[in-house]
Amino acid sequence: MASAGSGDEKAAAAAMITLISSDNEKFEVTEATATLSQTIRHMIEDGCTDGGVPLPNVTSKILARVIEYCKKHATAAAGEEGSSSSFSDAAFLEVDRAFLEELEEFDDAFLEVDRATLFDLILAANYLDIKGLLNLTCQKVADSVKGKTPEQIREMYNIVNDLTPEEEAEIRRETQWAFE
Amino acid sequence: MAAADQLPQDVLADVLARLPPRNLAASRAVCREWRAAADARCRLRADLLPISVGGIFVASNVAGPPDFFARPSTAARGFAGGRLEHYVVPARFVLSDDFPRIVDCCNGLLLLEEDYEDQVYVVNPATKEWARLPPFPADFSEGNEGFGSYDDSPYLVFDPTLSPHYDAVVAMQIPFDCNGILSEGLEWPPSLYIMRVYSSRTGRWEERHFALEERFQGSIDGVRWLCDGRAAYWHGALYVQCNSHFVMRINLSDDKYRLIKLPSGFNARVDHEFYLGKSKGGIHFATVTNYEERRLLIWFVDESADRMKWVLKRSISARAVIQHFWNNPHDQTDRPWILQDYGFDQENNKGPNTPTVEENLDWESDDDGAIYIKDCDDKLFGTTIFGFHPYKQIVFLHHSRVLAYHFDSSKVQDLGELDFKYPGHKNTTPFIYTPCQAGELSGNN
Repeated sequence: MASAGSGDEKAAAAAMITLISSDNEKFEVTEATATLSQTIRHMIEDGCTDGGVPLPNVTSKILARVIEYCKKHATAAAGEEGSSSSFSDAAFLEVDRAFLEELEEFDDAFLEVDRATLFDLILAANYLDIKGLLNLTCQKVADSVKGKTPEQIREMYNIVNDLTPEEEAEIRRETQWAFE
Repeated sequence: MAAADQLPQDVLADVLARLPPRNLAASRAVCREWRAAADARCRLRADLLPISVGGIFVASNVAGPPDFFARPSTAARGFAGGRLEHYVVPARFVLSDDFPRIVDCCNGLLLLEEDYEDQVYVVNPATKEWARLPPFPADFSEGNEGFGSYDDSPYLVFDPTLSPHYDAVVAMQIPFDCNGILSEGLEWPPSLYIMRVYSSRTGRWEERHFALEERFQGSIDGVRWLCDGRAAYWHGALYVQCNSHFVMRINLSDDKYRLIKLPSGFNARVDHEFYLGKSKGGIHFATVTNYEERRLLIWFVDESADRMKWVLKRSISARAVIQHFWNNPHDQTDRPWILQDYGFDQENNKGPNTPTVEENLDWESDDDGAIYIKDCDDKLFGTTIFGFHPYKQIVFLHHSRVLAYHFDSSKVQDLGELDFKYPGHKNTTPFIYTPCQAGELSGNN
């Protein structure tokens, strides 16, 4: 980042964090964006982010998506805070609703990914401790399982059934009502 | 590609914790890791779900709150929820004669309707929660032209193994009178059936248009309106016995409906005792034939391969089912179900030191005096069908005593004697009650 410039620019630069993906790509993000991750927030608090934050568990492809999510949600949070002081209650509610709708649309579009990417996003959200993203992606997986039989779930996620026939029969007997 | 087993167990547990009970149960049968993850955070509380019978509500057309017929130990466990009039708008109804009637019962919830005030209540007796449904919005259309009005009682739709929310459905009366005359110029079945549907998720009534699923090829000759047709809910569809010849299958997930002709062994003109309900594996229909033989017939709808076909499960003389416990009083149950009277609540509220009536609470856990029976040719009049067990192949019958007939194995259990307060069983409507303690009633007062 540029080291010369006005005071304002310096302050902005100071609030930037560099994230380094497993394949060594560097991403510059604002502190507001980065601290949606509890993991990074703790690192900042501990003062160990100089020279960038290495994230050996996250590829550049996934990190780019995670940052896209964090940017959007950090902006929305900032916008909401700003609006609360400068609008009347009714106007505030209106703006609030518009923000929420826009966020929902963003989230829906964000989840339009293949299954492998979805799982990588879950792993990244879990590792980086980003509550909103983890919630969103876990719900997506849960929704995909709804209404499916065990056989269909195994097929969908390439899972090998390691239950013995006796164990499986026992599970079905215990909760017979769920299998009709 | 990342596979599910690469998710850390706590994350997988987080995913599965979001599933409703039915899907959680299916997840436990996927593999060992999923079973462990499912059990890690959210032990499946099947005991809270409405899968066992706690008693029978007996509604009467004669004034007053409904009766509850149950084994005292089951009722004492709180499943009876005491008497409805003690907590459903109690200020208005305690010991009152115009207590709302039970008009439907679905997976642990009751639907109550108050005739004079046009009020509809949803009640969960196991938790003593209740909600009042809002009135229809004023801007709704008149519905299907010539079909009359939306005066009929709503049907209740609720399945807590899939969702904590409930719906209520009001279909317009079918335009047949009791002589089977279809009003001139009307089409039945209509290609678009307009119904009113309340959802506790939105808290609002909606007008919905259900399209006839396939071209109707049957005949409506001889079709009559029937006042005591029942409804049942299974796998996202509501089945309503809408007249003497047909069951209407209303698919609430895709807004379509179709007609299923009642089994040919049933003749509404002479068979006055019949019951449509959900039992193990799907929708069942039972009748006691009124001529010649007096036989109990039980069918289920085979829905495999998308054909709706009635399959006869059992045909047996009504007398064969009833007579053993009549003729052999010493075989009658020594832990009878009884009507829970007004004093029951005080009994029940004595405090923690009250001795429990008995330890073995669940009549379903064992065979409890079941005896196997053989068919016979003798006739017997006056047997009433009380309903089906929703998860076991049991039909409840009443003939001065209440019996549980297991129609898969042909054995019978005696539940106890039931004398109605008012003579004439046509004035009473039984509702098989499966207590539901899972979740909170949405819209709870």
